[in-house]
Amino acid sequence: MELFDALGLNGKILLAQLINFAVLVWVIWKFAYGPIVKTLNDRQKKIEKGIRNAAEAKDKLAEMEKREKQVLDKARQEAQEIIKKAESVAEESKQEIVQVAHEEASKILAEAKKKIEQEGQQMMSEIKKDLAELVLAATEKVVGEKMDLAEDKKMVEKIVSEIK
Amino acid sequence: MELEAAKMIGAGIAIGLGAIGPGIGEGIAASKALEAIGRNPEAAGKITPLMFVSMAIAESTAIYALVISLIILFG
Amino acid sequence: MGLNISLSPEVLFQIGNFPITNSFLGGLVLSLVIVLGVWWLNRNLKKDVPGKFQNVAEILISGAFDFVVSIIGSEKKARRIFPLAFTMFIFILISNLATYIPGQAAVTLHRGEETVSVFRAVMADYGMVFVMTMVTVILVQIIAIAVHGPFGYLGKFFNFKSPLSFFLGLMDIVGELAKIVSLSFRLFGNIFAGEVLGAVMLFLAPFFMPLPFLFLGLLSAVVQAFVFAVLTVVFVKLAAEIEEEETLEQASI
Repeated sequence: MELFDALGLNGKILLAQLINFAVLVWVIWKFAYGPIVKTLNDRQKKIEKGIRNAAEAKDKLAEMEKREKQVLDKARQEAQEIIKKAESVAEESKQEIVQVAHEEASKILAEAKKKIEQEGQQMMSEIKKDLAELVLAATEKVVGEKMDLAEDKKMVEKIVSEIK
Repeated sequence: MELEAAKMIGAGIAIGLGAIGPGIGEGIAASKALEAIGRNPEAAGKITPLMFVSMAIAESTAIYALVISLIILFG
Repeated sequence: MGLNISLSPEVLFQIGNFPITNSFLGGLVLSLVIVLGVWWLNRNLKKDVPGKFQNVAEILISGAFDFVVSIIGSEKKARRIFPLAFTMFIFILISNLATYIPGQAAVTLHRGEETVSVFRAVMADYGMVFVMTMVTVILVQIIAIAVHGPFGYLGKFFNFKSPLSFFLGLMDIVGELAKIVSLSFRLFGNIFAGEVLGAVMLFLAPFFMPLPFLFLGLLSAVVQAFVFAVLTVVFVKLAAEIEEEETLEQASI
């Protein structure tokens, strides 16, 4: 085949080129294609995992927020209740105190009234007594004679008491 | 006519005529592919490699002509 | 100064009776570069925060892998064929792009009468392309035998049911052989033609004229690397399919 000679085909060189090419295929397979595909797969897995983790974290965060809100709501409710309770207790105690105060005041008032009345009565009776004597003395002076009679005295006393 | 001169002329005619068909064919392939891309630009990524492969296959005839002319010239 | 176009890679020197050609040397150097790059990448591999280089490598590998999966349809099968196809892609791409490092054409070696340029596009050496093609084709045959069984595999080519199917079976053999030629010469032809075109343009008009062709060559450098790797994957996919695929499709590729 003259053409083969013209093309420069030479058995030895062909063999060398074949070996050269085979080595090249092996090197690229072993050291470029394999590791890079592995790296890409690893990275893909990692990214998938990362995305999954992120989604999980998001869910967890949402859940936690929900729970937090729940807790907060509950606490607020409780606080409200406590405040209400305290208010009612305060109201009650206020009423009680007011009542007690009222009672006491009325008691004091009543006592004071009683005392005043007593004093008044006492005074009145004293005044009456004085008045009777005074009237008696005045009458004695007017009449000019001593009215020693028990009957007269009785009468004067009756008049005085009628005056009031 | 000398044999050498005849060989030269033959080789020239062989590759020249052999290149006509693939030339037209590749032109048609490219024009159709571009038309398709113009109609549907999203498919460009799929059409382009297929166009190159089919053009390469259409080129086979020109390659045969090249081989023949090389055989005539050097064989 | 004349145009120095050679279909075969030129021999630079000999070690023993092993000839070292310029493109073979270039292939070795570029392989070494790739190996060093891979070593550096592997050493600086970080699990969580990738560096710039690692980022690029990751995008490249994961994007290419997704593409292979989309062609072949199953992730398990794709994982098996991917390293080979990806190595082909990277090796071809880097070899093709390395020719755009300027100043290579100036480095020559004088060997008696002829001058030999030290650098040559690796994929403009038919041997290297042929080796990779043979790897693909033989792998495809092995997969076909493994999937269809030895008799199923042979039955595809030698079918005695009817004259037509017998003829189609023979065409399948031609198709398999044509695979070798078309797959290898597509890459070789494109790169070699690009080199020749560049040289001719450089010879005719050294300033500015070669630029459009350089851009075109840059495009074809990437596309051809892509096509070679993708066709490898497609062949493997076709070989691994259980159902009867269209013979027409097979023959034309």
